[in-house]
This record gives sequence, C-alpha cells and structure tokens, in this order.
Amino acid sequence: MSLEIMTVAMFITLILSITLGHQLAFTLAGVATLFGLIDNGFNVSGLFDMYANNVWGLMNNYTLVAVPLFIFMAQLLDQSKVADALFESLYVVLGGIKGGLGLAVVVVCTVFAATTGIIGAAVVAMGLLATPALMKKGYQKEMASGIICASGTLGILIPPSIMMVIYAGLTGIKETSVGNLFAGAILPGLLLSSLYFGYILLRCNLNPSLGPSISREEALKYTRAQKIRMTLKSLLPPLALILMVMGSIFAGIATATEAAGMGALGAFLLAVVNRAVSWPVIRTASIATLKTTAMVMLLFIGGTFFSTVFMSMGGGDVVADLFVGSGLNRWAAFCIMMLIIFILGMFIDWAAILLVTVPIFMPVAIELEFNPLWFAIMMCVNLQTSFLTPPFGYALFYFKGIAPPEYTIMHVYKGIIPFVFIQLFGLAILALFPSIVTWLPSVIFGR
Amino acid sequence: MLNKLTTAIDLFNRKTGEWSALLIIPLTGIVIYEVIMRYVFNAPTIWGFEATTFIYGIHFMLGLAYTDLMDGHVKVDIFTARMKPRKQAAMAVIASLVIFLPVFSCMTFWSWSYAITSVQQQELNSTSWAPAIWPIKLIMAVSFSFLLIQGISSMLKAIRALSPGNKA
Repeated sequence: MSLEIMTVAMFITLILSITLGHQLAFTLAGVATLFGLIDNGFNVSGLFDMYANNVWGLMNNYTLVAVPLFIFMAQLLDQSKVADALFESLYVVLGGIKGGLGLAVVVVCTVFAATTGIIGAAVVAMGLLATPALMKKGYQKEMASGIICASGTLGILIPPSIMMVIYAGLTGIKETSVGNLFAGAILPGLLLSSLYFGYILLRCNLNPSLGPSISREEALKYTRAQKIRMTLKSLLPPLALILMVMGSIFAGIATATEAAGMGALGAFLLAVVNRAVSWPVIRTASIATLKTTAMVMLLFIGGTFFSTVFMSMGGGDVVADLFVGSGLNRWAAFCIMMLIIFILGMFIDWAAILLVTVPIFMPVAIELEFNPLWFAIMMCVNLQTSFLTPPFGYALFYFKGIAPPEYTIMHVYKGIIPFVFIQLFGLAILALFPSIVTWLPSVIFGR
Repeated sequence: MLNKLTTAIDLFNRKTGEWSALLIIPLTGIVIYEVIMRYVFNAPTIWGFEATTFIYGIHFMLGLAYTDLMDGHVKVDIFTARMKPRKQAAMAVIASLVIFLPVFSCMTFWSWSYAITSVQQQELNSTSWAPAIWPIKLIMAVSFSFLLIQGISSMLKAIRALSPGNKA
C-alpha cells in the first residue's frame, strides 16, 4: 500500500470505528495498533514496546502534573461557594438593566474561568446557580441556555486552563510553553467574553422579553455603597487567587505545575474560610479529580499511540506535502485546518481533537511560517465551538443534565447558534489582528 | 459464577480507585512543600521534582480502571445512544472483542515485560537523587492489568444484558 493510501485509510478507519461508541481512547489505540502492525510488518513486540515507552514518557511528563492539580483546584473552588456570593452581588448590581442577569452570568464565568480550568464543573455550577434566577425573571429559554453554555465554556480558554497545559505537553517547544500560552490566551478570552456581553446587552435592549430586568424594588433594595461593598467583598477572594496563580507564573518565579499546586492550596483555604470543608467534601473533590484526570490521561495515551504510529509511518509528511508542497495559499491551508478542527468539534471531545491534530498541524503551521503561539491560540479559540456545536457539544449535555425539565434539547440547540457565530467572529478578529494574541506574552516574557 | 466475578472485579476497582484518588493530597502537598522550600528558605529539595512526577504517574494510572468502571472515559455514542439497550450491549461486546481485548491484552503483557526488565536491572533514575524507578514501572503494568480486568468485567455485563432471559 502506498503511503498516501495508508494515511487516508488510517483516518477513515478512525472515523468509522469511532461510531461504534467504544471508549474513544481505546478506539484510538486500536486504530493505531492495526496500522502500526501493517506498517512495521506485524512486529507486535516492537510496537507494544514502543507503546510502553510512550506511557512511561507520559508518566514522567512534569508539565502534565499541572493537569490533576488544576482540576483539583477547580473542584475545591466549586465546593467553596465563592461563585455563589459573586453571582448574588452582581444580581443586584447588574439586574436593573435589561439582560442584566445574563450579563452577571458572563461576568461570573469570566472571573471563574480565570480560576478554574475545566468546563464541566463550570457549566454545571453556573447552570445550577443561575438557571433558577433566569427562569424566575422570565428569560427566554433559548437565550438563557445559550448564555450559560457559552459563558461556562470560557473556563477552558481563559487561563489557567488544562487545555493549554495539554497543548504545551504535546508540543514541548519554547514558543508554546504553558506560560506563553496562558499569557496569549488572556486577551482572546476576554475578547470572547466582551463579545458575549455586548451581544446580550444589544439583544435584550432591542427585545426586552428575551431578558427582562429585575423589578425596581429588588434593584433599589440596596444603596449604591452597599452594592459596591458586596461586589468588592465577593470579587476579592477569586481575584486574589488569580493573582497568586497567574502572577507567580508570569513573574517567572514558579512553574505552571507549582502555581497549580499553590492554586489548589488557595482554593482549599477559601473553602476553609467559607466553612465548606469536611472530610467527605475533600474525598468527593479527590474522586472527581481522579475521574477527570484519568479520562484526560487515557485519551493522552490513546492519542499518543495514534500520533506516534501516524508519524513513524510517514503520515505527517503526507499531510505536510498536501498543505505545503501543493503550492496552496498559506491562508487557504490555515482555513482548511481550522475547518477540520471545527468539524471534528461537532463529534469529538476537545482533548481528543488536540491530541490527534496538534502533532500533525503544528509542524505544518511552522512550515507555513505562522507564529506557533498565535496558531496554538487560534486552535484553542476554535475549540470553544466544540463544546457548543451539535450534535456533540459537551457543554450542552452538561447543561441539559442539570437544567429544569422545561428546557428541551431544542431550546438549547437554538440558543447556542448565535454564540457559535460570535466565537467564529472572534476567531476572525484574531486572524486579522494577531497582536491580540502575541502582544501580552511579548510584554510579560519580553520576547 | 460470572455474576460473582464481575461483582468482585467492580468492587475491587472501585476500592482501588477511591484510595488512589487520595494521592492528589500528597501530590499537592509535595508541590507546595517544594515551592516553600525553594522560594522561602532557598533550599530546594533534590527529591521534590521526581517525587511529584512519580505520584502524578501512579495517581492517573491507577485511576484508569476506576474511571472505566464509572463510565468516565469519553465515548462518541452519537449513533449508539439511540439504539435499544440490547443493540447497545451487542455493540459494546463487539467493540470489546475487536478493539479493547486484543490491544489491551497485548498492552498488559508488554508492560509486564517492560517492568520485569526494569526489575531485573534494579533500574535507578539517572539523577542526583537516583531513586529506584522499577517500582513505578511495576505500577504501570499493574494499572494496565486492572484496566484489562475492568474491560473484561464490563464486557461480561454487556453479554449478560444480551441473554434472552434478561429483561433489562
């Protein structure tokens, strides 16, 4: 079989076998094994020795130690109930304007996006916290579900985020270190969150029935001074945590892994202050951490098998030839890569997409002389859509799981459409103004 | 008989997972200790870095089987979710037989051979602390074994759901 046919066959086999509904990581490992054996002339021992080495490499990857630590931090923070306090104060501060509660959700999610790195927890926590309030005020169901799903998803883009840690662990080059990726993702994350903010404000002012304001009595229950005090008091703990984690990374005094450990300590202390700590709470947080970590790491194992076989077979060169050698315009090549990620996002979870596509696309992007950091952030922003695009948007499932029964999956599907367009609009802005990505890292790390 | 086997495997992996989950606490603890020693007392340990990666590796590897038991590993069940339970079970059995069992039986076997080579050489890490790394490689093999028996247990349960006598 020629190399080109093998490459195409490997992807087609992957796509077909994914539909079996087997654990994705097992399927990745299975397809890798089939093609690895065909490629190396059925040297079973050679292939599995290589796999064992791959797994050992993952077990010794210091960058990835930040993954369980950031997840643990998010779980502890979830228990500490600091998000509840912030939402309650923003409820009265922003509630008076049209669409105000929706805006409060965006702000809370943006602040907590900066403190947590996983989306499942954020969407569930925000959904439980905000959906009853939004429902009571008569928010349109589509609008409410769109707001919560899109904002909850910000957690994985705005640093610290395990998506960036995984990206850095995959590439291992200086330009896309965890610190650079974190710094690069801040402004794009804030860009998306301001676009959501603007959109909600605009839509609700044009049509107040989508998101009515709270009643005058409720809004005037507190004086301005009280409102300011409430907001500051609830904003201070998460901001202190952000400053501790991000500050120590950006100041260059701690590695991302160390900062993640300190973040977990900080989240634990916040929970202690809020009297939310008990042995069952810690045990629950530990078990939830293990489940998410093992899920990501098994995907890492399967994805590494897949990309190692794909690369040793020469598939990387085939893809590079296709994009670089064919004389394709570099922006056309870029758009095709982004389109592939977008389409994969409808079906596969973000981690699997990163694990399969980063080893293949990153060399192509470098060959095409795109800034590696900028390209990495573009992929991550693009992957925001993967949480929202049907049929397989994980945020939608998390939200549907906890939303009141009045919310049908159709409400949720309709609700996220405008937000997916906003995300793509954000992606276009970053393509036109790449300095939004690269400016902050250059200031912080002085490159 | 098979019922007892799957119950035993599930119980074993549940307990193993619940205990390994607690490894996140010493992991966090060592990272914090190392940070304090280095930045406050300017006296970094020689073992902090390696101890951190070892615990992290053991933590997620031992968690693989537990997460599988709890159905926590991502599946793309876009087509299978709409099938009737019996058809779903049939798909699960086929996928296990064709993909999981062959690949992870081999993975378990070769990870044992990988670990045993290391044990025979009494392999140490080539660093200044130079800890023994063969125990960690053994844990890797043990973890794949746990994952394998969990996969077998899940498959047996799917086969049971297939049998005509089962109403579920």
